[in-house]
Amino acid sequence: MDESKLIARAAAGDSAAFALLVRQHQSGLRGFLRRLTRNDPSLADDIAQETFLECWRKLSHYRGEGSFAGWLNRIAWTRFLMDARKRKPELLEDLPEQGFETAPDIRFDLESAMAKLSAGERAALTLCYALGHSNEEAAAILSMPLGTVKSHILRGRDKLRALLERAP
Amino acid sequence: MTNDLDALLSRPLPVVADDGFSVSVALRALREGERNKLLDQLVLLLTGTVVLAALPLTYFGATIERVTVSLGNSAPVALAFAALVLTTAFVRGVVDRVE
Repeated sequence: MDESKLIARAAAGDSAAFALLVRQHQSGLRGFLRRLTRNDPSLADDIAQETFLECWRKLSHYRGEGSFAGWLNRIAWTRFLMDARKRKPELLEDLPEQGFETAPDIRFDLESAMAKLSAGERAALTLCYALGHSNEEAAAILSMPLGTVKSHILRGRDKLRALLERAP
Repeated sequence: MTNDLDALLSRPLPVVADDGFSVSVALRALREGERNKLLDQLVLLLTGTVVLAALPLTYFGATIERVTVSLGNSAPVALAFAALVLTTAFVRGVVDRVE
């Protein structure tokens, strides 16, 4: 069924339509949140559940401006920030570089390198590359000025390049 | 390296298996909806009870009684009512005769 029809039915209180929407978007959203939580599946899934529940409550306010996935990612990002500030503030910071210099045996694939970046850098890179959003869409999702998103992307890429080149 | 990095970053995120996630979210949403509906009804009932308790019902009752009795005892009202009944009966009689 067409996504806009599903959204309209779910907004009218049809829980079966809502379940279908969740099924369609759960993988992308949970993947995005796993990146944000430095691959903590249980925390990511908690935030994903809360995100979908907030989406269920606010569906009638969704005006169809931008993609539905973008709207979901925006709720998820806000929830992630609230949760991280309360439970795990270290998720918002860069990890110190000494962590991998003193442990050369760690395999530096993209995910472990990505985990060294700040939350803004991880979010901007994931939204713009893996999830295919434009820089402008990412700025709207993250509620950041476009310039900030671009600098997160540039800085994040530089750090990733350095990390991956240093990988054993 | 730059091209490799772009390609690496552009790879889709690994697929996360549903494993009952969407069903559990939909069930939580359904339960939350039912709880909210119940809460709304409870608030409405409580508000109604408080409003009813606060209203001076005996005063209202006495006023309605007084007005009804005075209307019943009023000659102009009785005349107007009689005129209304007679007019209706007359109109019905004329209509019946024409038909």
